[in-house]
Amino acid sequence: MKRTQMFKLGLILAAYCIVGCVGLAFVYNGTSKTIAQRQQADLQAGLKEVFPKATSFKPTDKVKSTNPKIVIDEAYLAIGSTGTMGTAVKAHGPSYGGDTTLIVGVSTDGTITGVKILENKDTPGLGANAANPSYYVNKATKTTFAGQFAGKKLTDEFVVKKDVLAITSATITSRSITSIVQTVAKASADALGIGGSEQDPKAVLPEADTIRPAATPMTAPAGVTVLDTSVGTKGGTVVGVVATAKAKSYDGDVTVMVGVATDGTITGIKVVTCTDSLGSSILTADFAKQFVGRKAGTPLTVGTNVDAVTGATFSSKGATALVQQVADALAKALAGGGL
Amino acid sequence: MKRLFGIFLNGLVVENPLFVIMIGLCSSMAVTTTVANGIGMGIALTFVLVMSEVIISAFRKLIPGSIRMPIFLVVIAAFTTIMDLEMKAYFPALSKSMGVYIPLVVVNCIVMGRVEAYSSKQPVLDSLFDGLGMGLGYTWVLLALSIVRELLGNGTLLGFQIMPSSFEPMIFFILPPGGFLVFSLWMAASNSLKRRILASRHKQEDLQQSCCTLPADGTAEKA
Amino acid sequence: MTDLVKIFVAAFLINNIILMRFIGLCSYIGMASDVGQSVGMGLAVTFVTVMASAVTWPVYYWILKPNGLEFLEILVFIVVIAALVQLVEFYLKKSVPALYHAMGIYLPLITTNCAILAVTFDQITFGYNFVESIVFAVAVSLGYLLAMLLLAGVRQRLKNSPIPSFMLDTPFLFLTTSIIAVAFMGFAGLIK
Repeated sequence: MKRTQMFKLGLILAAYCIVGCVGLAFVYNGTSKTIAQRQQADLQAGLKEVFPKATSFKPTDKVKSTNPKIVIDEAYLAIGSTGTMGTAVKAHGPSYGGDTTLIVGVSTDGTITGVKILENKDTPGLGANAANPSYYVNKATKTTFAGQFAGKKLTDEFVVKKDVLAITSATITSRSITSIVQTVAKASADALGIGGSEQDPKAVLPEADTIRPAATPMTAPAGVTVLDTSVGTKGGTVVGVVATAKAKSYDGDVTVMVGVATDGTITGIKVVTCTDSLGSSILTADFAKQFVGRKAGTPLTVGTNVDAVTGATFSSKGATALVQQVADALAKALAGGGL
Repeated sequence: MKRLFGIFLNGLVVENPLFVIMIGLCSSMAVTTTVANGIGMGIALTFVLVMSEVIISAFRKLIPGSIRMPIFLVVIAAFTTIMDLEMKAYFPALSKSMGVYIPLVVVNCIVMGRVEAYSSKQPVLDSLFDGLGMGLGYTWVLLALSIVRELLGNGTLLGFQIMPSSFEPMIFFILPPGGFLVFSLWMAASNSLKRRILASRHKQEDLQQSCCTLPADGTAEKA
Repeated sequence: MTDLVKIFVAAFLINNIILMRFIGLCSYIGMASDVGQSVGMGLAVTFVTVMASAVTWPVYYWILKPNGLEFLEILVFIVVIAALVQLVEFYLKKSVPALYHAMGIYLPLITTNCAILAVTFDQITFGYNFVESIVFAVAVSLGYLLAMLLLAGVRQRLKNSPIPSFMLDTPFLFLTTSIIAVAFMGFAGLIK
């Protein structure tokens, strides 16, 4: 009797549980779609906010965090009228009271386009002000904590109380978020192939003391887009020209900056971006160094007189071909005058 | 009708869950840093309370006494989950800012206490009004707490700037110690008001027992 | 290792479950009237919290998550904990009577103690692994014990103090708690 009684009670309990679970499953089905849609809408709005110039966002898996505690949740290439303009990356990392989730936008010119803090669990009134749209770290300019990162260069120091304004009484929060922003921005820069470095034409034309834009841009060889042409002068005399150009490479684009002296010698090159898979490894100074001193007009071939970067032979070839085209075009332009 | 109104008023004032019975304290202080959170939590709890009370009251004859507790838990947990999911879907910001305190409604002593003490024995309509009364009784206390805390701690009400810009917000009030302090003062105010009402009614004898003794045997937890 | 220490200090002092997060307040106000009772309740909570974490973590990551049943979290956790408390009580009564006498009487009280459920939810929200979850559970419940002890100690001294009548009992307890909480705010700088 006792056994059947227990059995009966168990059955009743199980019945309630099953009814409960089935009911919940229905509600979950109904709400999960709304939740997913809303999260997607929030994400799109956030991406748009950190990268206002972009017209669409394309998922990418190339952004890799270098810090195991800072996790990249989702990464997008920001697409605008001129192609890839940069990245917008959603990531989270530890802060004072738990993880902080944010979106960082990085433009291909090596600056942060914006930062939006999505979630922050720090102390209300102190650390939580990081996500408060009406809390200003600079009251005069109405700059929020996250807002101050917009326009910041990746080469900046990212030190709180030095080049980053802190939230009052929340130094730890300020530091943690700054560190997350910097890590994510660097990772984005690596994926974009810009490595966070500056693009100063002087780097490839060290002899010049002033750089001015060229009167007419360089004539673009077939398949190459010229982004910038500049003339380097020293004491008023022209010592060389610098051009930044972009072309298709293995499965992405490569952008190089090439400096050519008046005698047709390559004074320096720099691979500015390379969006090939594994392409960022050709951004090293070692790869660029081997072009210094070569004469424009002589053939440059990977494998014979140019060493490829291990693991990125195709990208090396693409970049070398582009360097050659640009150097030749520059030498021609120098000879013809009119820059 | 008058009887139902009495049940409603009972929860709202006479047996106010927070000030008088003193159960369900956790969430009352944690979420009252802003008025919006306070109202949100109040409505969320009222929803779970009313639904659980009505369902359990309706099924009260089909719930064997010996396993009533697990069944109550299942029913309450189900409604808490529904409320949690609906909030995530339609009020994501509110849901985020209240965090773990939303699922904790499931162990909120008010819900378990009222289900066990009231609706498992009373008809559906009475339970409905008891749930509404208790839920709103809880809500108005949250509102009272959060108005003080948001106004002094942030200078705003429902996000709108109220205090003049020269007012420097007293962050203390939205930090945990401020929560305890504001609750303590509201409770003292409520106690002395009650004391006066009782004194004017010449009910001196039950003054001490009704408002100023603690359940020494821990009945509050059990509830 | 340092991560575990950080989790411990944060959960034990900085984010003390009662003083900073208001969870478990009902039992805190109700039970912390003498030191012995506080210790008994605190130890019982520690025991059950650790046991509950050891069960709910595998349940979530091995059963609920692989099957897409995360939405049943609340329901499953509360039922699992309630069942666990029953089992523990039953086992202690039969096999370890000494321990049962020390804390058994508190067990039925903590089935619906918010602190335990909060710990199990937090472990999932914070994405802790199993070891971290256990350390977190121990730290939170010791923090609970500490807060109970502090209030119980103060309360014994308050018995003969002249307290204004409108503040008698609960309002005064919350006032005391507020001041203890202010002291705990000072721990905030312990972890960078």
